[in-house]
Amino acid sequence: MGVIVAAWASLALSGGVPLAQDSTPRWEFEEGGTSPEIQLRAEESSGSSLEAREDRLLRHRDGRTIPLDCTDRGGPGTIRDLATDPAGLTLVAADRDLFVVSPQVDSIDPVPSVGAALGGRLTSVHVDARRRVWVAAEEGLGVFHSTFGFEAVFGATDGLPSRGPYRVGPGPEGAIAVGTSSGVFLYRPDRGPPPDLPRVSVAGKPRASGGTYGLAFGEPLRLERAAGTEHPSLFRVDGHHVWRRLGNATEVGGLSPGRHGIEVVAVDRDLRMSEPWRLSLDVAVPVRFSKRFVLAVGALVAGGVFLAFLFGARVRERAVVAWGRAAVSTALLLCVGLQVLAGLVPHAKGWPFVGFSMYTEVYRENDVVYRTGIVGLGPDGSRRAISPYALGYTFDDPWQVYRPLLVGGDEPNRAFVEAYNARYPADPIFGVHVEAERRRLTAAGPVRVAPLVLNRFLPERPDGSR
Amino acid sequence: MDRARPGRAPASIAARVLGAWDGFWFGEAPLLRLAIFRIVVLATALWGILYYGAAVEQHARGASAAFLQRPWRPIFAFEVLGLVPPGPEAFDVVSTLLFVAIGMGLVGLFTRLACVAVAVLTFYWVGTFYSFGKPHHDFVALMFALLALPFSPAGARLSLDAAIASWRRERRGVAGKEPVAEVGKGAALPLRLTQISIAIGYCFAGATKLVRAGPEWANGFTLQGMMLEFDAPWTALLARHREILVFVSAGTLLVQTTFPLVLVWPRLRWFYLPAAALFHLVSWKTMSTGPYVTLWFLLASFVELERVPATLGRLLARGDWTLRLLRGLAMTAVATALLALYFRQVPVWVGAGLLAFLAVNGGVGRARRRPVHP
Repeated sequence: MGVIVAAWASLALSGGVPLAQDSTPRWEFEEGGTSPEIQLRAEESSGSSLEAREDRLLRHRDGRTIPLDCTDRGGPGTIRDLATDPAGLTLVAADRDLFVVSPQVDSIDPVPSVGAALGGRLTSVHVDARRRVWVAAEEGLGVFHSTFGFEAVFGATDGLPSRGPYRVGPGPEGAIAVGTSSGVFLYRPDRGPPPDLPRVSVAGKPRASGGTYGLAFGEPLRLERAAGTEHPSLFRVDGHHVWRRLGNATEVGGLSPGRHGIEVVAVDRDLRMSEPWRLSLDVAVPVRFSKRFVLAVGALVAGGVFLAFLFGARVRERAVVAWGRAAVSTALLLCVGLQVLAGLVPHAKGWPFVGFSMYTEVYRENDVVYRTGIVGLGPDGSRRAISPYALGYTFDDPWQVYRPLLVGGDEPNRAFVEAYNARYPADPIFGVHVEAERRRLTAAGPVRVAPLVLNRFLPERPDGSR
Repeated sequence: MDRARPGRAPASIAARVLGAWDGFWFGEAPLLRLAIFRIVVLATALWGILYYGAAVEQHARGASAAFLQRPWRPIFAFEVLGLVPPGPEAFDVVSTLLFVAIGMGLVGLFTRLACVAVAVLTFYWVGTFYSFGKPHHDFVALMFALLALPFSPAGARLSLDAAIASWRRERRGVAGKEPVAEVGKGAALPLRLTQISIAIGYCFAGATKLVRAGPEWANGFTLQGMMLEFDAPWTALLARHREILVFVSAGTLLVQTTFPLVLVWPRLRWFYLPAAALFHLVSWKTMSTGPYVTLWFLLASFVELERVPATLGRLLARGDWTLRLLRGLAMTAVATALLALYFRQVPVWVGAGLLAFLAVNGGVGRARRRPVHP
């Protein structure tokens, strides 16, 4: 089962983090500049547009106008600004929160965002070409990344000029225009070098990137940012597509026996990642799961049971029958006993003695359910769902395709597009998304809300456009 | 085997337990039931082998792509035995042996040996697939059924072995002079082990939900969420009716956790078997779990298979013509659906060949077993 920890969900837990300063000038006052324009209309796709009217969002499509629902029972409050995301989503800044909608759904849904950490009501939102969502409020400015769930709050120590209320919007040449009470400033992200490799401590001791670390089974890995690390850090285990925040003393637990890969990256205020700090982690196989122990105990139990059956059997048959029956009885008892044991201590690796851990979680009203899938993007901008099995490969788990597309960079994505086009030449695709379709659970049934676009591969066209 | 002997002191508790144990596992069962069950198990194995066949073959032939990661994480048994995935040559050998062994098992030629080969090779085949992904529950009961068949007189009916034995008896001139047994010792073993494996599987599936999640698991939202994670043809229909989902959740917990009762009161199979079949159908159509054909077919272990034709005949003969027609239509629909599902994986000629064999063998077998009175 492809359970994902959604980036947006993790945002709700992380809270805004003030970021360290560097000396690269990023802010400049725009002489005579006008505050970023509020967008109350947005083209969400060809032939479909959105219009904000007070606390309602209307969709105009095919000559019809329909008001969109809101999954938050209190409604969005007055809508202040709209911003479109390159992946096709529309962000809605409103008095009560930041919301999101996509052309495929009819409800706006709250995004747990940096907004809560900013202070005051939201005033505006802007999404840049790198899909960073910039959010301004009466008392602050922040940014979060819609694909890896990390947020940054700008404060005076980060050079945030003047005082609010703030307003954010697009500036010239990729700059972010920030309106303040004393004029408009341009913020130029991505200047200067990206963050350096983070310094990380393992079990309290600073450790260089690379190498192997041994851990006993059940013992958590104690990871923390080493003293003097400038930027916040994120970590992930075994190339998982969701990065998690590395705190001052983060414990990574629940690791199964065997080798695991740990990666830590530093993230700057512009949400740029450093190269990863890496660690190979060897989690020891506990004695009770070791081959030698299992075989020894198995042999002892089997021997004991066999003897019990043999001596307990006051049979009239020939000795060979008694021995044979005792052997079969032993096999049967072990067979049933191990099935019961597997039920009590579920562990799939022991197949055919397996227990159950799937389908044991609980969902509650208002939870969001994620269903990951691949969306092919046609040359004309059309979208089509593509089964991970559509290219003729047979495998057990669709994540065996999703994962390489999510974390493998351009190469697997390009290979996927090429393989698809070779197999379906009459219906080619140009790019590919990995999206988590999202539905919110309600008593009246599920409500489809905007997807999470986890990965977007859209190669450059010959004319330089995407 | 009788452990409590007449004329002796009352048997000890241990002796009585062992006696009950022997009676349960090694007791008698109709040989015809076992023979039909053998065919069901092997036909199910054939379906399963073909179901996973493409994946195993792709692994063996090294078919891969930059967008596909199928790491080899062997199941524990493979680690212990040092088994590795087959290469292209080994795949050809294993698949050929497997299909030959299944064919021999189906027609009952060297039945026990064929069943041993099918059990071992199926374990390797399915284990290989699971080692490239993760183990599932669909082959658990089938695996134990296959492992148990060689310990029973599985080839005593509906088999070439039986036909050859009968022919030899005729040649020796003893045909009709020896009583022909309708039941056989040890014939119950594969049926029992399959029943118990299925019961353990269902019971722990329900109990684990109750232990880990508690009764809140049946709040309706849980099933709604799980269906939506997978999204299948009936998901949209069911997911918007929370009351139905609460009922289905509670029903699932009830049927799963109490399923072992069918071992104690066999009449309960009239409730539990349709309920289990319905459970797999609904979970397939709402959660894309796959058809679980293996479990559907292995529920046959709870059925007195040799009586099925007579029971169906009685059902079709009872009541007024509308009722009979409805029953007939329902039976035809169920049979058609099952056969359609089965023959999506298995070539139709295999089924046709097997039916022809059973028709000939069954007829000849019956004729040969008919007592001859001088």
